[in-house]
Amino acid sequence: MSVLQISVRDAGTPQKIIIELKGSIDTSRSVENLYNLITKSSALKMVISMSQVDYVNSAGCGELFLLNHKAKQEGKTLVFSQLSDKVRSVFEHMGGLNLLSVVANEADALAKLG
Amino acid sequence: MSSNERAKRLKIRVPIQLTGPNGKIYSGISNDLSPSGFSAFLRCREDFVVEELTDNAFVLHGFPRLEQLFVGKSFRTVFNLDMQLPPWTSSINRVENSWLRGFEVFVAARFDELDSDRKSRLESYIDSRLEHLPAESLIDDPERLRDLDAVAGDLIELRFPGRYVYIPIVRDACEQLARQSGFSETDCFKIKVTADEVFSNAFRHGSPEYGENTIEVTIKIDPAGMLVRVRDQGGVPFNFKRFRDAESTNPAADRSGLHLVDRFVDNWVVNIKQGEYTEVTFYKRKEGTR
Repeated sequence: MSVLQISVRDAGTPQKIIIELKGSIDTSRSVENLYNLITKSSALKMVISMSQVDYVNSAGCGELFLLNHKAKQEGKTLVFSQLSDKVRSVFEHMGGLNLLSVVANEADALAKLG
Repeated sequence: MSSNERAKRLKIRVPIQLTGPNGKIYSGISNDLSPSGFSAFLRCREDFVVEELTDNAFVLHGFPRLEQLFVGKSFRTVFNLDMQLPPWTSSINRVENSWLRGFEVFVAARFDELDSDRKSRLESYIDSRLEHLPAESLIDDPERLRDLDAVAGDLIELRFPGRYVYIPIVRDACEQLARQSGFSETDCFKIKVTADEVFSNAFRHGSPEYGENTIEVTIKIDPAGMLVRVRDQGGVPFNFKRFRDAESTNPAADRSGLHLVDRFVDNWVVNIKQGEYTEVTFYKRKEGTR
């Protein structure tokens, strides 16, 4: 439906990366590239920076839950940070704040990943 | 997404056959084929399907037995295309309820290890078919609704084919009208999400003939708020008690788009004439008008 732009930054150690998302998360297709990036990456700890995600719906939330589950199965840890108030409200009502690890900012996310 | 990237998805009906790891065969129709994967409606005659799907009408998650059957499994995949293409394998990453007609379920899948030759042939096929599709099949242009300009008292009636591409168009139009009507930015977002969820349900559950079906959207602006009504051609039963039970027991995995609707608007109601239509109406009141 819409393209989710993805950029990756180094987080100081080879095992950690910061993935910045920009755009809408509203279908499985919108997270397809993110899915490929996470499953193929050698990093085990990832910060998903959502500050530039301006829209998410229930389908998008479901895809992120699934992605998080897949990552866990592969021994990878995702921490979601910098959700806008709007996106956070969708996460909250979909149960995402319980299912996903969500923190306020990048520093908290990196601290949580250890 | 650029029009070129979008155009790589073929929105035509293609017969498909999937063979599971245990040799079981599922047949159906794909209506969305891209070089990286596809979605399809499959006939699934397992004993539990009707019960699980009926209980989960309007709920997108929480089909453990269906998921066990499909998700994460590799299927030998054959499309009945008018070109020679050897079978390949694909992995299903999502399964959802459909409209309960003929034991059908919706699956989304990615191709496994599609080699460059096969991928190139598939892309060429999609490109060649796109040239023959009527222009209307590829409409994904919010500009069409840009001129909508409503004031209090206006009644706007829109009709859309039951196609996925219209979801962002409808939600953006509702957001735009809400903004013009003086809703706060937060409430414009809530109206946008609600319109998205309701229209998505109309597409998923209420358009059994895909683009042959019509989804009617009625928007009424009044000084105190905004009413949106979406009517599809499905008439799928909706278990309201189960929806409320999921709400009270709070298993996050059972949350659906309607939980967002419930939280984001002041009132919403579902009217169903079984087998004919489902009509969801919601009303959002402006802040300070109570």
